[in-house]
Amino acid sequence: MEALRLQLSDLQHLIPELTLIVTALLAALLDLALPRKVSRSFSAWLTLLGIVVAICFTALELNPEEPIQLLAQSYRIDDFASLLKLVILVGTGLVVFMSLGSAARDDIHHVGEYYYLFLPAALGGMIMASSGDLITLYVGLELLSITSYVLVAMKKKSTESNEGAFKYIVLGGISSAIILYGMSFLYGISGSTNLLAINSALAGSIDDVKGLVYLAFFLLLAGFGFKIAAAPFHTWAPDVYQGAPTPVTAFLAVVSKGAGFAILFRVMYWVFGSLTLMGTDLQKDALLSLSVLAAISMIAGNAMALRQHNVKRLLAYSGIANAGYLLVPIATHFSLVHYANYSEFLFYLIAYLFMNIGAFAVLMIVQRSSGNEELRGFAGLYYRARGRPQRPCCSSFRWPASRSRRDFSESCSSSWARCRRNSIGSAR
Amino acid sequence: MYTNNYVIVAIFVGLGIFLPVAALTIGKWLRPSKPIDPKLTTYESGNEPVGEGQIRFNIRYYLFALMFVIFDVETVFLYPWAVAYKKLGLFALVEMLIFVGLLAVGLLYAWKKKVLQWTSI
Amino acid sequence: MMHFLEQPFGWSNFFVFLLLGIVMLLIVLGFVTYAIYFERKVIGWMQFRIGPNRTGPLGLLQSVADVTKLLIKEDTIPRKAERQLFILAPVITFIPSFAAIAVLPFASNLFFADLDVGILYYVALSGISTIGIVLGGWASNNKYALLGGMRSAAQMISYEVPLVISVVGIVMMTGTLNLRLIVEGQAGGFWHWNFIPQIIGFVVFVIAGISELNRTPFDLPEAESELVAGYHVEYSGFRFAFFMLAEYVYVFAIASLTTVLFLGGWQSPLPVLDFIPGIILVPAQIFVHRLFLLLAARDAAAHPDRPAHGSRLAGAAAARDRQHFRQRDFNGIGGWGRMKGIMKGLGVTFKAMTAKKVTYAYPDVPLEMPDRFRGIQHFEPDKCIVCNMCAKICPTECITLTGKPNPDPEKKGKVIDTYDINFEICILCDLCTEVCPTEAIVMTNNFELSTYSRDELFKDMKWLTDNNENVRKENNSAAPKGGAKANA
Repeated sequence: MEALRLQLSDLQHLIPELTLIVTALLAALLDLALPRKVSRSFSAWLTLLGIVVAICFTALELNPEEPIQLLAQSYRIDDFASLLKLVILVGTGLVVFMSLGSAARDDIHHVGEYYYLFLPAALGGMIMASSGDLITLYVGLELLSITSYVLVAMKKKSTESNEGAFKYIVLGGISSAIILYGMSFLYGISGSTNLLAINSALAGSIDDVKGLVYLAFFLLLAGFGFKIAAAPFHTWAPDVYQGAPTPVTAFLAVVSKGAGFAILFRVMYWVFGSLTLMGTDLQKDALLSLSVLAAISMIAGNAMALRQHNVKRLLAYSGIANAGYLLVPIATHFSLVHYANYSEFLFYLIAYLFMNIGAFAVLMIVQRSSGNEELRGFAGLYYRARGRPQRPCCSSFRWPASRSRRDFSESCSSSWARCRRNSIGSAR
Repeated sequence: MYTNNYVIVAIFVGLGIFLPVAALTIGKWLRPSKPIDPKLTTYESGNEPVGEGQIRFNIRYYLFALMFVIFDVETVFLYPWAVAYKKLGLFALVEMLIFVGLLAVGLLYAWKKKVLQWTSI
Repeated sequence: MMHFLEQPFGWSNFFVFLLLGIVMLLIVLGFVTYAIYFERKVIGWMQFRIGPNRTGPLGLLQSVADVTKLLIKEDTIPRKAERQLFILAPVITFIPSFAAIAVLPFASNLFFADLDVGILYYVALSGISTIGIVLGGWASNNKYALLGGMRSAAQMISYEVPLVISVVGIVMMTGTLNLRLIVEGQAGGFWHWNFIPQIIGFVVFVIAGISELNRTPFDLPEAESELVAGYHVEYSGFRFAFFMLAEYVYVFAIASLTTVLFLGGWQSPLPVLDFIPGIILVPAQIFVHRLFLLLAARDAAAHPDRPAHGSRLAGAAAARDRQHFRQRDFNGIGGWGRMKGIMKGLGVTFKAMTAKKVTYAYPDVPLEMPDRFRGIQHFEPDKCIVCNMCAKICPTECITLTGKPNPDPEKKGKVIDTYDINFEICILCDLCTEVCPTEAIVMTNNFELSTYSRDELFKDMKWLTDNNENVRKENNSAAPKGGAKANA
């Protein structure tokens, strides 16, 4: 009982989260209180302010002497968590910044809600990054998911938006249920929801309950695979990305995926791949499944992207492929000297963050000038705006450090093909 | 003792099931059964029924049900806290007040968006 | 009861529990029948009439007759209804209502199950009945049933939240969800009862309870005049009875729960009255509370200042109230004025219980008609001179008569041979009596003419002669007073 109590001294470690909560509440109450005529752009600035403050406080948490565990080891504040929180917050901040002008034009009626809902979503991602316990993980996941559902549906009059949101809700709900089912098996086997406790319990009794453990692993993999849009759990991504307002698509592509990877990392490493299970069949099988998932995602994502006309769908497929790339650090076998691949993963994630948000920002500008979201909007950019075409190509060139040159050249060729086709001017 | 309590509950539920079954079975032996066409049609105050039976109804019923679910779950969280209230300290009270406060913000949101008004939509 | 609960579970225990359960079932069913009877009686008194008083002494067997009628009525399931769900809906509504009784304590050693989660158990079960109602509306495949079901469900769930939250205060004070312990925490006198510190919770609980039970003024789901009986429009016979049964069992349950939670359960109100066993106090309290549920709400609905809402029966009571009270303004419209209005309304009800009824107890007591009442005719053949005036003046030509010559050869004139009145068309207009010079045909104060076949309405002379009771004394005939001269 005592371990579960939140002491007042613990609250200082939770200041980033509390900042987000307070900002969200403040923005919500102001939005409700002010009369309708007052412009809601204050909500955007308040959101940005909250995010900036949270970034500052998170940066203060970096590099602790030892990881801080709160609430009976269910909430971990360590470097992994803090860095991921920084990525999430920066991503959210950039998305809010990106949508500053476009919200009114995009015929979003509830401008206040649109902005301040990014805060609980970021909060959900932060909780996911810091979780040390299955329940905390799930609470964060649901907070992020449900807020994303609302954000995707923000353009109430657009049928595409509604359709995308509907698909997202249904498929997201199913995947959450699958995750819970897998978690319930883990709880049943080990008697605890704490990730480390599950790991030690699994190490002890793995042979008796092998079937259940594998089942739990695959269920969790399926659920998390949905969240990160890895093939074959990717089918929601194109429709949802296409239907959502573009800044929200950027949010889903970056922050949601990053948070999903955070929990994937935590669960896969601590439960299935960690020290006590090193060298066992379970660990080998787990890593093999992750690699297979990565490979399928890369191939399927890149291949299907080539056929797309709509840029947002194309970026969705590229996101699927990137999920494959991001899975590689997790799936790779590591030896005792190189224990974990956090740093590689984080490096790529940060680069992916900037690249994707850059791509979406460019898309927004092109969309505004050409009036549609198709690839043909990019046609003739070389002639219309000289500086422009370099940016998408440059941002796609920033795909560094892929494990295999094959992947790198593949992505290179696809982006070159796009650029060349667009600059010549497509015949469509 | 614990078993006994739930055995009684099970007996009451069983009696609750038994009564309708018995009454309707006895009724089946006692009542006539002459189904003719006009008796089997849907009742629409004497007119001929028009359209289908399961029509679309207003979405405000769904909104009320949604609000009910949210506040019912809040109540379910309130009960264990209320039972242990005397043993927990001030801190638990503040925590619960924060919880209720956050839900009250949600209620305020629903209020302002006219969800609670029956005739607004 | 504790003694039985503490023993390990075995066959003897099981049979004791089963027996107690059956006894409770019978008690609850008895309560329901007499609750319905009582409600109808008191509503009658409110409307200055007698309630049921025919079947059995004082009408006590009225509910039994109703239940029997419902049992032997034909059970029509509409062709388009979804059969299994249709059959399942009243069962789903009824089962939780009875299962919720298991947890209520009636005396310090008279309770069934001593669950540590008593309140939560009750609240959870009362929510299940809403499913049955929606299911009934949906399975009937009838637009109006569906709308009625949705409306009823919306009302029930919206008042369930205040009902549940209002109890949290008591739980905090007592520190347990166990109903028996909550009652034990109210020992002492009535100043220890929970309704004093939790007065707001008490008021909210009572109002929300009235709404949960679909009682006036929340009885729109049952409003017959407005929603064609709502969700149970397609239900007939005993399936309908189960919906009503579930509602009345919930009345019992909520009244008991209010007593247990707020009004001290079986604890006596004053320490000096400790000798009264709890088993008497609890029904008394349940009775008082039920009285409130049934009546005060209706009285409130019948307040003259507020037009009758929901129940048109309450409107008749309002009219009655208006007749009795000249003074319309009872200290203002709201607040104390309304309270005073309710009190005066209740006073009317109780005075009406003992006042002489204007209702006729016909046919046990014959109806006294005034003398000028135009009833069925009475014929005296001796006085008739066969002048045919009655036949000629009859506007509907219902009289047919024939005469024969006077058998006595000495006397002149005719004597009546046959005399028929066709009561299918006779309008009892009294013209034949007025015109008869000899008062041969007069009217009586009888009016009962029902027969099993129309042929029997064709009355002949013998019948008319035999119809000689209650003969009118004052007949408007042209004949001089003091008797006519017989002409034969």
